[in-house]
Amino acid sequence: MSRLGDTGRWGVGLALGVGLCGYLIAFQGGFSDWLTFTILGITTGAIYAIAASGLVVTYTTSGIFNFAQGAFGMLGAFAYWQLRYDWGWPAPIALAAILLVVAPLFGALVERVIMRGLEGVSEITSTVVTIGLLAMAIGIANIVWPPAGRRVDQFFAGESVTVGAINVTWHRIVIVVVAVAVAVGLRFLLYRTRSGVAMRAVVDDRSLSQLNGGNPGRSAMLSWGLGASLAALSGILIAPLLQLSVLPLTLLIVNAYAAAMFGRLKSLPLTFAGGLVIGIAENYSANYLDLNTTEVAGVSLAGLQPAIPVILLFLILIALPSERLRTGGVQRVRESARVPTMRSALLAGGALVVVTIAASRVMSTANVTRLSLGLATAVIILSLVPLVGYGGQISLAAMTFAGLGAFAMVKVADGPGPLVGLLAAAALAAVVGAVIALPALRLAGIYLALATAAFAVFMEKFIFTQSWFFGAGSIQVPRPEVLGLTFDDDRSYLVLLSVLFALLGTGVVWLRRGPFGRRLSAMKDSPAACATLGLDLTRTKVGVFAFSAGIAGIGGALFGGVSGSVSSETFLFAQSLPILLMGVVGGIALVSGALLGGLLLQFFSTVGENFTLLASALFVGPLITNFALVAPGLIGILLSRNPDGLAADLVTAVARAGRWVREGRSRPEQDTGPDPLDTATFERPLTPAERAAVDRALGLDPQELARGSA
Amino acid sequence: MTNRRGIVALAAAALLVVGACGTRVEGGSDAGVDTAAASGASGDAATADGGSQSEEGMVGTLPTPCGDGDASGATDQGVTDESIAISTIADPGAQATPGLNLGVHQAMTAFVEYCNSLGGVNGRALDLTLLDAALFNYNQVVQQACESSFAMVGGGGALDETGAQTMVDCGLVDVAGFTISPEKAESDRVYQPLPNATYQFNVGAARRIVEEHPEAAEHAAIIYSNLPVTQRQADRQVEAYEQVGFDFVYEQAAEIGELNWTPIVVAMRDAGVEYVAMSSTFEEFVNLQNAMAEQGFEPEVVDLEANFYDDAYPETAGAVADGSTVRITTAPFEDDPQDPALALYLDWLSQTAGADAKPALLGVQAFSAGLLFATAAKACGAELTRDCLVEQLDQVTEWDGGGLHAPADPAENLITECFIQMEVVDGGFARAFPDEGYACDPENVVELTGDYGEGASEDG
Amino acid sequence: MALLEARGITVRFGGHVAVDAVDLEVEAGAVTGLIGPNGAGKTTTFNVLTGLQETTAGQVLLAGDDITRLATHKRARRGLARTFQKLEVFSSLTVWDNVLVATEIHGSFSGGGRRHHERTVAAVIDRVGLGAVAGERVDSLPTGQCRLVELARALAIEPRVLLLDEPASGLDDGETRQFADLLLDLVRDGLAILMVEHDVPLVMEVCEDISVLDFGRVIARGTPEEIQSNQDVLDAYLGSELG
Repeated sequence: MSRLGDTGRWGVGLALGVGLCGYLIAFQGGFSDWLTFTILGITTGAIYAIAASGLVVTYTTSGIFNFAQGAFGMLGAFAYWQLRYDWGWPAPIALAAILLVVAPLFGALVERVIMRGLEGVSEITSTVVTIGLLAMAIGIANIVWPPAGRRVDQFFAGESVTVGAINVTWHRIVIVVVAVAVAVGLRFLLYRTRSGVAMRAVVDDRSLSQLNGGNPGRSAMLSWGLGASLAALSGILIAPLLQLSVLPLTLLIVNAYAAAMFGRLKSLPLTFAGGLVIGIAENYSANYLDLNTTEVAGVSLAGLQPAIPVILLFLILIALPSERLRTGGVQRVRESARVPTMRSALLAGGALVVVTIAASRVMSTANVTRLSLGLATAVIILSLVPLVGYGGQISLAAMTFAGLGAFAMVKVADGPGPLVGLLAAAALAAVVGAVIALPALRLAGIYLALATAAFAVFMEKFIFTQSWFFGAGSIQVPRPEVLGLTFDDDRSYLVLLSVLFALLGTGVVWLRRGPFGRRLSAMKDSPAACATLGLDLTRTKVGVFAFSAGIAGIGGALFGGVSGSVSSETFLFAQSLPILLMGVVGGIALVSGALLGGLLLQFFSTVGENFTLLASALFVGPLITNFALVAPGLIGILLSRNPDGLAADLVTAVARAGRWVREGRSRPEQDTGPDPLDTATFERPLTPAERAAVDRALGLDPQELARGSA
Repeated sequence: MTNRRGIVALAAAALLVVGACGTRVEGGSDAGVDTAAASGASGDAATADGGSQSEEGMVGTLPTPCGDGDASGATDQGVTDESIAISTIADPGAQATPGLNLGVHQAMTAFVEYCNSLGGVNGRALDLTLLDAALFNYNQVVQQACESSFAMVGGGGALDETGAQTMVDCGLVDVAGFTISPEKAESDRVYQPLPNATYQFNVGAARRIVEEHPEAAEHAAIIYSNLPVTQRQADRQVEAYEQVGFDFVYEQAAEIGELNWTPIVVAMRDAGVEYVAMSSTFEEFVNLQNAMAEQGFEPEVVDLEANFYDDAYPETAGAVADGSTVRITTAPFEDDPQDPALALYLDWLSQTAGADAKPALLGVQAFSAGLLFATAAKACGAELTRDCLVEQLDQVTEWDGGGLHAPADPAENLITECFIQMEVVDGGFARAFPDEGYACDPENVVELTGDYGEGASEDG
Repeated sequence: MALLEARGITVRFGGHVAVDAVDLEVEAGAVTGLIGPNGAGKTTTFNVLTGLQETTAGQVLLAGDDITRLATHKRARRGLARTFQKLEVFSSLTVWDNVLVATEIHGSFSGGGRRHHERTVAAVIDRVGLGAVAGERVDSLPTGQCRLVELARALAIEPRVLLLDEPASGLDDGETRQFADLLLDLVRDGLAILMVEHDVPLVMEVCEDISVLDFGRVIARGTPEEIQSNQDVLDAYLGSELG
């Protein structure tokens, strides 16, 4: 497939499409049926197209894939309801207010306050910040609009057009028209107008666009404002079809990712086409296939239907022409993790175990459970440290591999025993990880992230729903046994968890300090350079993927063992998002960051719980009770301040304190500091050090300059 | 931050099938309290129109179990001279579905206030701890209850299978307001005022439909969200209804967040369906009803479970929901005069929760559970132990909460034979059948033989 | 026979021809220069030679073998190394580790234990003159030294052919001197070097053979003297500033 040129690809695709339609018409029900289903597909597809176009606009103009796009749309829909139905404004005014005022302002605000602070951070951090925005948006919606019955009517409610055997409401036709208008209009805006070009230029090279008279700050705010407005448009159009429910509205967009990829995140007409393809594929399979009751070798195909958009996503990602290894020069990212020594890793691990033993003696049962969950979560987050932290590869499937691990543990523990079960958990997850990594290898950055997301959603909808996987809803997960020792007692299990985390964490550090870890770090910094040195990137990537998946598998088995049972809901794709978020917040390149992230994640829910009663007394009730939801979001956003994560902050603080204690006074940092040539910028006057460095770089002799006139 | 996570919660909560007719799920709306008929919501201690007030010392038809006495002794965990520690679980802190079943917490708070105002149980005050499982922490909060409570009363959790065995293992007793999973519904040491037996089903409404709309019964459709809990519910309904003469010609799973219901509507229309049931959240069903209206498909009968008995449903649906029927087994809020026991619950609810009061069907059940607990505890006198409690509860073979709901058998875990059909009218509900009281008949209960799971057991 | 050869390589990006039927020959034991104005296609040519860019037409031969379709890392294993115009150092690693990574990668298919690697790294670092900063993180080093790190890295994989893309940019006079000496030293050992550079004096000094690229085409080729007096070259690139 990669040998074909673009035209070849199109030709094949078109031929397949035409052939399929011909087959359907001829053998499966005739033309009228086909027409009906195709029209249905188009109306659904138009929805995906609009949702995806907002994504594409934001990406094209800011370089950031906004995972919160759907959430912005949801907020827009609720805000529209507020104006139109709650306050009774006329529809055109409410629409104008939201689309032309509120949404753009919101988007611009997000850019100014949050995204601008992300100058120079890695793709991982900016991705995670948008995940934080997602969490925060959901929290805000729940606070401002607590659950209640809210009605939204379709536009031109009651009017419809009969096509064949079905009625198509005007609302759905409006959606198709709007989708076309958006695709055409945006294409024109971005490629033919000055502001549009300026918006795109910002992505390529911010300082260069500034040199050329552009105002990147203003362009960026414009971009995000536009993206938010499109999101709101999409939300408002979709709300009457889904009702005003926070989560369905927010997560609809996952199905639209494939459309955005179809357009390679830059072509709006293609995005539109992609949306149609998804909608049509969904409708064809719903109407022509009876997957609901089909079983193949014991595997129920019912879950295949909802997985179609992500299957398409995965296929599209793999079929993309291979991006050649980019040589964009080294990205001076702001993250800079220090690698701990083996000694400090062992000491930290030992300290963890000791502290845990002590805690297990005095904590209440409920807190023992919480801490256990925290440690098990920390193991799952730890799986991301080599992959994301060291290797710079984004994965949104941590919980999926955890789920595989739990499954393996359940199946294997009965026969060969729970310790073997733990190993089986690692093995199964690792194998699946390697298998998934292979096709996804050529992908990097956000494409890889989306491929892992596609895999995670596929597993969630198709595999985890199988009756032989999670039973009738939940399965019992046993605890490992070591050398005859059982851990039925929760406190002893807690200690086991701390020991396992310490061991795995030390192992990860050992890996980092060794050749493989160096290679990972190198691969993250410059894959192109690695290739030119003879490194087979494939092997390395598959290796780290498998390793990461294996650890996540162990984490999943351990997590299940805490409460003894897990359900399919425990390992949803959406569950991997807070895992990644808290991992980055804690410090994704640090083992201690994983620990911190895991503990924070579990204890956030505690804060919400413990303060419910207090909160009802205080005025800030809803804020506190929703703290659990808002807080991770807020913290994710604060990453823009310190991308290295909290653990790094802590480590630095502790190190400084240690030094201070030892030497009795504070010392200046030992680093040589950033190279003045790197900090020199056009945005402000040069410091003397920078001027000197620039002179030197230009080969100008300072004495000669001093003698000369300028 | 979760999609199906929260939606499962919603669906599970939606399917709190209690009394085999489902229950009213509390999603945070002003559920069921029609401003015209309500007394409690106005925050006024005076009762509703028409003197539906309980007599002194009574809760409806039930002599109040609460009162003074001179019981004393620390006879079991959580019991002291002065107090009995009980805890109530619900999921209001669920991140994905905030406020889930807050009405349960509120109802128990109201009950405890009421009971303590009369002196508690034999003079021991009830000391209530509200526990928030927030969906996924059910097992943990059960552990918390295990540590300090005498019994769990009035609550329930959407994912209650995760803590069912834990509760049994630590020796607690649960007088639950509702149960969801078979692990919990069939569990040892769990008693419900309106049992939710896994292997029974209330077919009262079905039998009536077979009589009044025989054509519809022979062309029945059921749609369900493809989650284990809704799937199980649909399977049970199909098995039960087919025993009394239904023929399901169309059974279809649907995704939560489905955008395009037209294919399903068209398929139903083509199959000649005249009866539609759905096992899911009401938001999903509204979308289906909208699609049905769009395509001009108007089945004769729309028959819904009690989780639809929530004002949010007609409010969200608008006119498309008119004529849909909902089967319930608790006293309707819309009755005029209201059942006196119900009025008492609403009274105390508005007194304790004020403007935030959330009257809910599950709140009614919680209140009834509180009364059931108090009744059994009272009979134990000073020697209040868990064993005694269990003994007493095992003798309660008929219970209706003083009129809060139809009579059922908590001791034997048998569902009620009675039902009421409510109809959606004008953005709210009104009685469809019977005109007053309940329609009761032993034939309204059928036994199920399919495999739907087992309860947590003391040997387990 | 030239160790590295490019025959008629052409690269088209859509309608734009970046490299137009370019022929190159890089002999062992000599430095070959590749000069030309910005945008002439020099880096693209490098990318083609190392496999980071597909050709629309043409061939690349290494020691007589056709490597046109060979993957980048396989070319490296056959002895083709390069540095980059826009730095591609491993900025989060130290100088030592940068070179160590290269040595280890090389060692994974050519053997050698840890001791051997460490000796190699030390030797290479010494040779390029980075001994003083071996333990520093690369992202704290000035550009010129970063270029030397890239060079050290490339040397660590024991290449036969070395492609240098603007290796002296950022070096001051003294450093450039040292660099020139190093280059001559390397070719004395038999290495074949192809160098893109804007530092004209440096190019004229060390190169035996120079090709001039303009708008993707080779407009001239010859010894330094020939190039300096070539009118086309003067017009296109050197101007009249040569002295």
